[in-house]
Amino acid sequence: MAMEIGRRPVMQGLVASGVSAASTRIADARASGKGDRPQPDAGRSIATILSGGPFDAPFLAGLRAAVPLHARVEPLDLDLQGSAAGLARLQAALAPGRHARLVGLVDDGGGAVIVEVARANGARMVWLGHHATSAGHDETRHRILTADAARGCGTLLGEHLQSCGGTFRLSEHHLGGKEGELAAIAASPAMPSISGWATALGVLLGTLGHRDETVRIRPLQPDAGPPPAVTRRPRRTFVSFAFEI
Amino acid sequence: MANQDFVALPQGIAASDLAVAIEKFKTILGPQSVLTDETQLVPYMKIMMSVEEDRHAPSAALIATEVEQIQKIVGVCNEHKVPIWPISTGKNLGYGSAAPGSRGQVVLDLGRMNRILEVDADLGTALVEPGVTYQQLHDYLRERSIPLWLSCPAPSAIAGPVGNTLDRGVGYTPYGEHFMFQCGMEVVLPNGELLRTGMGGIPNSNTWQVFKWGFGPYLDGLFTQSNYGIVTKMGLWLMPAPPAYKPFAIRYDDEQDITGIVETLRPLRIAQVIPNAMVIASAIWEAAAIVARADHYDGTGRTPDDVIRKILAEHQLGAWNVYAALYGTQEQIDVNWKIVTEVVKASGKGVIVTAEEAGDNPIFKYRAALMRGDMTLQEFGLYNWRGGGGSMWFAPVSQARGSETLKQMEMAKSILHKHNLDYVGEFIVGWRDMHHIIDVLFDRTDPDEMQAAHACFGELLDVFTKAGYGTYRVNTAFMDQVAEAYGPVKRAFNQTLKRALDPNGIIAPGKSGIWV
Repeated sequence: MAMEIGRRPVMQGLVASGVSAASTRIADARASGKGDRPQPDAGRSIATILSGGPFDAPFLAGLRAAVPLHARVEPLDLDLQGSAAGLARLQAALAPGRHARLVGLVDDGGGAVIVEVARANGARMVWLGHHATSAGHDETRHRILTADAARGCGTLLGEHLQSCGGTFRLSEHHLGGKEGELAAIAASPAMPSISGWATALGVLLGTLGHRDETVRIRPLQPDAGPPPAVTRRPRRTFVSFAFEI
Repeated sequence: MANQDFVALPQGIAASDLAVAIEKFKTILGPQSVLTDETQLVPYMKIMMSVEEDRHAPSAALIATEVEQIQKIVGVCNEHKVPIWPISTGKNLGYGSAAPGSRGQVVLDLGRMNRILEVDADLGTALVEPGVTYQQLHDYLRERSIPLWLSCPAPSAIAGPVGNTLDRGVGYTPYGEHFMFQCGMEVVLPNGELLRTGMGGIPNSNTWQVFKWGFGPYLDGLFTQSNYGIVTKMGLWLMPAPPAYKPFAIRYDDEQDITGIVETLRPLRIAQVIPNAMVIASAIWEAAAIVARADHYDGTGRTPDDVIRKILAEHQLGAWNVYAALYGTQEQIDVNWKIVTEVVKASGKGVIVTAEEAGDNPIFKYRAALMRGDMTLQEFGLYNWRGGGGSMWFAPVSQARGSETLKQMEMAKSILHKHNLDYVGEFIVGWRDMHHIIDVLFDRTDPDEMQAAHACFGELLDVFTKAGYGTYRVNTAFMDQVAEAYGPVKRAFNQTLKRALDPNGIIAPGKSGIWV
């Protein structure tokens, strides 16, 4: 079976995101899919959950740059901790048969709820990431859990961060154990943009599940400007995820 | 199915044997209810413990909806020696979540076995299946205007009464000791037989949910925190909605006040003046519901005391924060309120905060919701405090005695701080005990911190055991260590029962340190 994560669209996406360096040291995502899973469909909508964090904008910009032209990106307004209505909206978004993908970058509390509700609804999890940004020295840390449909993509993100010259630690895990581990210390004190990882993550999650021929990478903004920058450098943690529903 | 298609294998089971069992499971459940694809299994291995995910990767997950299916499944498991790990809603967060106890075990997911079979509005009883959530039961009562209240743990809406009760979890209402308010079970035994406990074995009995003990040895406890059977129905008692309800908080400024708090409030709890499982929440627990540590502190290691003091001052929180409530008629509440306020005043410490004074304070609101069994997810904010997805509950039991609670708090703080972690604790006041609940929060993106958390948790267990304290519940990575603490005779007795009931060791091997 052909791999579902195309190297080319991911690379295109990262370049289009405006945060990629010239390096092409991006390894092929490994193909290890199984035959009984529904095939991804470029036309399915992508519901997006964000939690009002400082990296929402670059993440969303990366996502929008990567998704197929005819797929819809629908941001969901959830306040999981504050209201029953938020949980009801999440339940609806995860209702079986919606033929959609659900991706997001949220805080840890929201992430815990979303994963639990997703499992209860029978959603298929392709990617689960924990991310931490540190204050002061611009380090990011990433712990990625992937299923076969995204296996190798955590490492792909790491190689991209490496090509950008950032300081980071990343490990990718799957059901069989640790898939890969990468770490780098920037030669220069800071990455070109502290938000680069979030944009790259958005591109990556937007690209998951689509073959080369179904993806058309667009500029981030109509004027093809740079991704939204985050000037403050907070120590924060986030959860990223991608589900097929 | 080709052997290599399994993402994990149970210990000692050949892929070819598992493949045969999987085909039989498909015949019982239908192919769509036997999950072997990675994307379907990854959600079951999302853990918060200080170990790697692959240690808890399932080989498959089975979605059962009927008792008869479960009886057939255990037959197949016995035939092929395949271990299964039953979950109800699988929301045992911080205690192992939905992940099997060890790699390769097949998850038996009862989440879609979610019928509310009976609610008796007069007697205040319910009979439910394992997949019923608190939200579902809450909605059922509201939609039918049945004036009964639930008692739920903090994850409330997404968790369920069967799983929480079987793990001997607690809530915050007068019915907060959940196993105490459980009445009657239906259990699929490892040999496939169907046992009804209490009065349930008598044909046409209408007392199954009203009288717990039945005749002869009382059995229900054997099926809590154990692996002797699969509970498929459970009865529970629900609290009549009181005509009036008065939640309140008491704020204390000094961490050393814990001694006085317990001595002041214990008599009120034992005398049922304050009837609910009130809580005494520490500074960080209180703060974490609304702020992240990073909002106030950019450093590493434990949160410095001056930072905590600043957070408390900024948000008007106490070093200790008591949440309790009065229930009954307005006249009853008035009498008891007078007693409570006079006792607190006489103690010379503590500032009482009423609902009216708290206004829209989100912490007070969610605590008030929990103490009346309403749904809230506010406490998930704890996971934002440090972030990174690591959380393990350390839960020693303490006497409801001030000197004991202070001693436990200081012991725990000392060990946590040694490992550069925060003390995030609360005491839930039981009938004579205190559940001392400490959330060992850590960042799983940081391998060093994860290692520190693991060492810290082990040391907490060691030191508390040596001091004579046992934990009432623990995550799956540390169950053997806790079982050992309760002594060799207890452990051997548990094993004797296991060997008698489940000689092939097919149900949840290792649960609570019980192996065949």
